[in-house]
Amino acid sequence: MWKVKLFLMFIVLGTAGGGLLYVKNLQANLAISKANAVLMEEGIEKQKVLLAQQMVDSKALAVVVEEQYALIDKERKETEFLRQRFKKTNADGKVRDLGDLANNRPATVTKILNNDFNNQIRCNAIAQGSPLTEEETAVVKKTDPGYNSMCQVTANPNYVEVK
Amino acid sequence: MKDTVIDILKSHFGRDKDITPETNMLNDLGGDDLDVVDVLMQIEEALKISIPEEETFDLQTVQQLLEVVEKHNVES
Repeated sequence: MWKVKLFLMFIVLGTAGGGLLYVKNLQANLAISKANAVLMEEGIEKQKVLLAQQMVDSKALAVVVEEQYALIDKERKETEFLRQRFKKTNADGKVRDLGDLANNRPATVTKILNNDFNNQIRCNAIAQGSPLTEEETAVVKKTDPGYNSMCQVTANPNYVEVK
Repeated sequence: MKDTVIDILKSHFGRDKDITPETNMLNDLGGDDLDVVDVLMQIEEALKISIPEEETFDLQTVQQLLEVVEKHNVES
């Protein structure tokens, strides 16, 4: 009889010990889960901050890209303007021949090119950061003082092109 | 003479352009100083005249052009 009691006692003690171990293990796992949850929340917060910063950076980048596109467009217009200056095609389809013009009216063409040269010096100064003068900004037509025949797009932002 | 000049201007700047003596070749026709030189050469060739360069510096309006051309057209 005492053997049966001893056996039952072992079973009870074993079950209680197993249960205790199970609960301890469960508590340990819960603590780890809690720690992980805290780490995860911290991670999420960091990601949120990072995401917000990325949004700000993305907007700043979009502005820079927009500025670059505007600059490229300006350069393209300047190039086309200069191409027109020396290789302009007239309404009758004739392409301007600067050599022919200079050969026939050398003094006039020299005067024009000297003026262009001075304008180009001014264009270089503007490209290096020199601010536009009031006269340059006020230009709306070619006969206005301050009109620049070499970098009109940059030097005369308010110029109104005649088609 | 006037018709020839206007015809040359229209051929150079565009048939659709409204050209009057008050027209400014730079401001109204989209031309530049080299266009004026080009037009002058065409006028000289068409009318068989020669216009001294010093008389054509800073020409802007069609009226100024007509006056200088008329002066030398009469002389020839």
